[in-house]
Amino acid sequence: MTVKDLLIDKMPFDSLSTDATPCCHCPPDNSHADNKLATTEQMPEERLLLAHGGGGSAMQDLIERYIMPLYSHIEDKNGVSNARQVLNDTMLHDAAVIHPANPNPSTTSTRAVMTTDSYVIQPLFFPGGDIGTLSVIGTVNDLAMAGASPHHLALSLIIQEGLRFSTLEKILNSIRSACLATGLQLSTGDTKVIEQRSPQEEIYITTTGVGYAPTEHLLHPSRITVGDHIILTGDLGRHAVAVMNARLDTDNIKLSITSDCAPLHTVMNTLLCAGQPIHCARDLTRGGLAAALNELATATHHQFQIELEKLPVHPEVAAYCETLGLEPTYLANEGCCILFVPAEAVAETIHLLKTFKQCVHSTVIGKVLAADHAKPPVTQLTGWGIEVPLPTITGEQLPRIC
Amino acid sequence: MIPANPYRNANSIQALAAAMPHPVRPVSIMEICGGQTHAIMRYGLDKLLPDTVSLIHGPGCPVCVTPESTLDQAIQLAQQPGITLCTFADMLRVPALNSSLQRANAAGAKVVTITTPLTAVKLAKNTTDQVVLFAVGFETTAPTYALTLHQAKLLQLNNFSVLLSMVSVPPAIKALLSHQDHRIDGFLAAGHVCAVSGYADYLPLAQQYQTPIVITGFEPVDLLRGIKHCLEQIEREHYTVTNRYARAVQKQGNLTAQRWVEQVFQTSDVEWRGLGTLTNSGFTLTPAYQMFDAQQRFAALLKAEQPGPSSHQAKPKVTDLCLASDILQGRRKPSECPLFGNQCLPTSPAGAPMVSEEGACAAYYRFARSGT
Repeated sequence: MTVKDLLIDKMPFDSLSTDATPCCHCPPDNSHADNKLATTEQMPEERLLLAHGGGGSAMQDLIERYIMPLYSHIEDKNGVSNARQVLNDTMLHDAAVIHPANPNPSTTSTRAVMTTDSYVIQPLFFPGGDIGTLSVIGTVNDLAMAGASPHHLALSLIIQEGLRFSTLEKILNSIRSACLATGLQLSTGDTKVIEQRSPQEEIYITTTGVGYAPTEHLLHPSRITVGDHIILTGDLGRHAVAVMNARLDTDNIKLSITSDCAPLHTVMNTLLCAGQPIHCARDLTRGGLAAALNELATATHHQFQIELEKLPVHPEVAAYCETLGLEPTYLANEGCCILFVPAEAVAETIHLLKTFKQCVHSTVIGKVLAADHAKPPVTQLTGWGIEVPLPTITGEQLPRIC
Repeated sequence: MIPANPYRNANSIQALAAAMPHPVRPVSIMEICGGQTHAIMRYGLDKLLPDTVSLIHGPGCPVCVTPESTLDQAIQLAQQPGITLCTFADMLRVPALNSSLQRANAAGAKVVTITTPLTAVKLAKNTTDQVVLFAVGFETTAPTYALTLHQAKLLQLNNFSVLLSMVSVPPAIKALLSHQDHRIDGFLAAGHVCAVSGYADYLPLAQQYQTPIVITGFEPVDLLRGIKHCLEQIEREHYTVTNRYARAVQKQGNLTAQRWVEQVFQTSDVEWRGLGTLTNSGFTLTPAYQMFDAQQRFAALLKAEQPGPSSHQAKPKVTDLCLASDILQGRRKPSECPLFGNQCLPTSPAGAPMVSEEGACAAYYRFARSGT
C-alpha cells in the first residue's frame, strides 16, 4: 500500500492543524468555505467515519487535508524543506526510493526501496489466506510495483487480549511461510497487547518492507506515456468477494471463490529482467481498479480509457455483485496489478505474464490518451460506443437494500 | 472469464437503439426505480435515445423516500444504551436533522449493518439487548421482512422489534399522475417489485390516466426494450400495461410471497419523504404482529427525545435549498439543484437522493458530470 495510504486513525488532529487546514473539523468535502447558512448552528463535532478508510474520495480528502501537510514540513538538516523530493519520490507510488545520508547515486546502480502497510482485516482467516499471509504479500507487492525485490521486513503486532495462542501461532506460521516463499528476512519487530474492545478475536499487523532494485528497473507513475496500453493481470474482485462472503451474513450464498492473495515480485522480476519496457505498475487493493486508475490518471494528468467488455470477472464474482448491488471495478484484489506498457511490448508482456498461473487472464483493458479537459480522468467505453465516467467512489462499497 | 450476458450484448443494444421510434414532440418517460436510473446512467443508455425523448427519475429509491422523522427515530433508538439498531448499509449516510446513522455510530451509538433481515433475529436470540430492525423498502423487500417477523414470533423474541418505513409503488404512480402539471408521458415500472406483487394494480392507472406503463428489468437490453415499447404505445395512442420482463414477472406475481405479506402487514396511509402522506401507500403491522412495533414499544422514549421544532426550524439551513422533493417527483433534474455538486456531494449529502447508489442525484454525480 502506498505511503499515501497512511491512515492514522488515532492521530491527535489538533497537532496536525496547519495553515493549509484552517477549519480542521469541517466535514470532509469542499463545502466548508461557503457553508455560511449552516455555520450559525451548533453542530456536533465531526468525527472520522469508516468511509475515511474505504479507499475512495473520502480517504483521499482525509489524506490531502491531514496527512499531506506532514510531508510538506519535513526538513533536512539545513532547514530546507524537501517536500518536493518526498512528493516526487513517494506520494505517487506504492513504495519510495530511499536515499542514503550522503547520497552519491553515481557510484551505485542499485536503489533501496521502502514501503509500509497496516492490516486490520476481519475475519482473520478467509478462503484463500489469512491476515498473516496478507500482511507479508501486501508489502511484497508494494515493493514489486516499484520494481524492487523484497529483502527486509519489520513486523509490528497489536494484539487484543483474549486472542487464542493457537490463533496467534497459525498467523505467525503464515507469516513465516510467506517470508520464506518471497525471500524476505524478518529484521526487526514490535509486539503490543491492548485491552479487549471487541468480542471477536482481533490482531492488527503493520509490516514495513525494504527491497532493492537496479536503477533501470525502477518504475514510477511519471513514466506513464500517452499511447501506453493498460494490461490487467487477473480477474477483478476475488479478494473482496471471498472476504466479504466470510464476513457478512451472506452465509447462505455458497461460493467457490478464494482470495487471489499472492506475491507479484517474481512476475515483475521476470518481466523486468526480460527487458520489457514497463512504464508503471500498480497493484489493485482497496478501492479496486477504479481507485488505482483514477489515482494514476489524476497524478499524471493523462486520460485513461477502459473498455467495459474487456474486464475479466469470474462468473461467481459477477453474480455475487449483482445480488448485493456491488460493482467489480471497485472491489479489492490482492494478487493482480495493472501495467502500463508501450504498444510494441504488449504481445511479449502478455505472453510472459501468461506463463504464471495467477496471470493467465492477463489482457489489455484500455489505453492512455492525452488529457481531455471535457472528460473525467477515467472513462469506460461501452461496446455500443457510449463513453461513461469511471470515477472513484466515496467510501467503501456496501450492499444495498434491494 | 468475461461473463456472457445476452442482456448486455452490444449488437442487441445497437439494434434496439436503431429501431427506437422518433417522436416529433418532446416525450418524457419516468423510470420508477433507482436501480433502473443507475443502470441507465452506468451504461449511458440515455445517450442512445432520440433528442425528443428524455428520461426522468422516479421515487423508487427506498432510502430516498424514508421520512426524516423515522430516520431521526432510528438514530434516537441506536443512541439509547441497551438498544442495537440493525440496518441495511445504504441507510447509514442519509442525512437526518443533525446527524446520520453513520455519524451516530462513530459517536458511540450501536448500529449493526446487515445484508439480510434474518441477521437481526439471530442477533436478538444471542443478546439481552433490545434489537430493532430498521425495515425500509418497497414491495420487493416486504416478503423477507414478513418471514423475519414470523420467525421472531415463533421464537417468542421479546427483545426484537421493527421500525417500519415500507411503501408501495402504485399509490406513488397515482399521486404523480394526479398532479395537474406533471410531465410524465409513460412509465417504466420496476421488474423486481412486479415479480412480487404482479401488475394487476397498474392496469386501472394506465387506463384512467391514459399513460403507458411498461415493466422492465435492469439490464441495458431490458431497459431499451421497455423504452421502445413505451414510445410505440405513445405513438399509437394506445395506453396499457405491458410486461417486458416476462422471464421474472407474471401478472399475478408471487402468490406465496403475497400470502406472507398479507399475514404480517396491512395497507395504511404512510408518509413518503418528498411526497407527503399518501392514501393506502404503505405497510404497517397487522394486529397479530403489533407487539413487534418499535414505535409502540419505545413510544415514551421517542416522545421524550423528539427534537422540538423551534430548535432547528428557526434558522435557514443549506439543506432547505435541496430540491429532493421535486427530483423524486420527476419535476426537476438533479443538475438543476443549486446545491448539486458543490454543497451536496456523496461525502456530505444534503438530500437522500445523493446517498444511495440508487438515488438519482448520486447517479448523476457519478456518471453525468464533466459534460460527458
